[in-house]
Amino acid sequence: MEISVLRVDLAEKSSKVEKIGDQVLRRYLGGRGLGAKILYDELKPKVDPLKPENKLIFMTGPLVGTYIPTAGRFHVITKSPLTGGLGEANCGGDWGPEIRFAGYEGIILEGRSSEPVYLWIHDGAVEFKSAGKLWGNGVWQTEDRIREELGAKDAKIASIGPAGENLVLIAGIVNKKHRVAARTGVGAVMGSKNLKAIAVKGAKKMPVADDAKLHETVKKVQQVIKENPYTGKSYPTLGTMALFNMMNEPGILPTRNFQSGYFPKADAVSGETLRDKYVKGQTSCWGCPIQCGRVTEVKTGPYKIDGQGPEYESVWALSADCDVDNLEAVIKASNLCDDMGIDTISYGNTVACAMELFEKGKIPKSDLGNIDLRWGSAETVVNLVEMTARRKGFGNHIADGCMRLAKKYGAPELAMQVKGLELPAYEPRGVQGQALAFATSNRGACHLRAYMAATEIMGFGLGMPMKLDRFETKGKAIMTKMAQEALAVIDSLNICKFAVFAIGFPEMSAMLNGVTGWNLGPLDMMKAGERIYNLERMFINREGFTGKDDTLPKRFIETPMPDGPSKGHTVKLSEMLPDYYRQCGWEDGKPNQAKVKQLEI
Amino acid sequence: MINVKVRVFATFRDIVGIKETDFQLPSSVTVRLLVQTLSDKYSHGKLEQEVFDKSGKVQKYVKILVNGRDIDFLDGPSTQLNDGDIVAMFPPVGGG
Repeated sequence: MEISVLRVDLAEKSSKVEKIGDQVLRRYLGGRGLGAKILYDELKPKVDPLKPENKLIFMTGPLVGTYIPTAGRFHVITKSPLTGGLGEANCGGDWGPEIRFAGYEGIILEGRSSEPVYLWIHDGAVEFKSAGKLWGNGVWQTEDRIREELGAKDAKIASIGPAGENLVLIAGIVNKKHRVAARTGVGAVMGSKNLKAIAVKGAKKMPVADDAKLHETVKKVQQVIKENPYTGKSYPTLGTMALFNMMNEPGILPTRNFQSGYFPKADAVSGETLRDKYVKGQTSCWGCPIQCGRVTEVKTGPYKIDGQGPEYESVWALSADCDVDNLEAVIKASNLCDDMGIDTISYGNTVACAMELFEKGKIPKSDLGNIDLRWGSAETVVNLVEMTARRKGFGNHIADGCMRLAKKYGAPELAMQVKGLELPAYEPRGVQGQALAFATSNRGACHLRAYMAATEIMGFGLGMPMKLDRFETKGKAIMTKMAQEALAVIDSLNICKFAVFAIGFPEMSAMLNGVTGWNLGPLDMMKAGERIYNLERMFINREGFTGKDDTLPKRFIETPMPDGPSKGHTVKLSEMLPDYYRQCGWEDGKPNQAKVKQLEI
Repeated sequence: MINVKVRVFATFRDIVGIKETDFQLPSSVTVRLLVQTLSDKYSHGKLEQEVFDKSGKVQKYVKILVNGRDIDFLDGPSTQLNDGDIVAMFPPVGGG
């Protein structure tokens, strides 16, 4: 097996096709794994992430664009300007499959264009088009205008908004207007290259080694997805917002910048309220039968908007974390983040950090202009979105994320981040395994690197029913390690993590082998996941991260949860981390020589 | 007698038609009896079928919390309730 990757030099405005062979693919699979391999091999250590020397890699995977359910995703890999470590984000929508239809497994972008451009990839051609007139536009208008200019109604477009253009460190890359490769500031890297968008159109048929066998597997997978209570009922009925009350009731919905884990006003902004008042339809990414996306509308008033979402993480960041109980404002702010190209998690978390800094008297009123940083200000959460994207007024401080904001105002301990990446919607003191997963995640605090909350709250892990006591530390190290490696595989195949509520490694293995003709069993795939996770770790080690960075804000370790159903608990990281390192074969947060050799990295 | 608050979420809400209610119950009441009482009063027994399987175990992925604690880590459906307890009931819900 051999794949084609498009390498683009933005400075020279040239491109070439390169081949990657079977030996590398079997070891790194595709998507996230292959992207990490390329970045590790090609990027010089310590480059400035926003300089032309950084590379921006888009990678699909062997299943993407086939008839396998949910195989419509792509992964972005780069060096992060937000964290200085690994920049990577996974994304659905409709753009990933189109890259494969155009004939490429992925795209490696190098250098920097001297003026704003967008790429038009079609029929074997790679065109560099002027984006001068698009610069400053939101994502939604950008998509419409490019399609109009190209006369290609069905071109698929990934683009940045003003946030990426202005090197906002929490900027993402958006496609299908609402699907965002959001985390670690990948949009700022695209902006630093003067690249506004990549438009793609292709018509190639996806190669499948054993069509009959794959059809048989897919038929079973479709049935399992339909019958599974999560993928067949919960996601289609309430979307990701079904989780809002599920996290609040045990007291792990972070509130007021993680000062509490219980949001008394949760019902006003819950999934049930969203469904009853604002949802007018469902939507999905390419090739997905689950349909977790919501089409929503606020019909009147100051927050009038016809859009999509918002998702669980976004609602949490924009509501409970900022103590806001106005769901219309949250819907508006989330959609504005999509249009401006901003990561909703990092944005809401950073605004919440600003609110706590203000509460504690760290931010002088003279810095704020007309911005009201008191808890619960819905107006502020909405108004700061565009100010952040355009680096106007106080938005210029939000633009650099919570770590830099809290440091600037002399209270770095108030930044709820790990390795520079803002925490998502789980209070670590109420879920010990998720806390360990946040601390050890290679890209910084992230629930998508090991979703331990699923095992500790929802009763599910590694593709099967599994429930661990959320306050216990025992057994969390090995489970976190396995979850990290399993999710590395899923991101490398580029199927949706939600599908994995219904299917496990046997099904994934059958699908991969059906497409590629390989004979990789579940254990081979888990080993690939371990290899990928360790390679990513070696990348951040090379950039200077060590065991001291595998930690959490001291609030979680030193201050018992003050109220709610997780009251009295702290994170017992010291009980879990040594065991985790032992399981991983790491010393001081670094893979040891034996591990590197064993994994043949 | 004890006072217990019950909160119902997601599709369970559609079945019983309420968000939450307060019950005054005998002091020896268990989670199972509470669910049966709620189910009889608000759903003609339908909720109970969604919560328990035929052998009386809590259905896979259904969550019942007492004061935020999953009953799987207490005494399951036999968990005794106390005055002032808050019980939360969820069908399988995903997200993330």
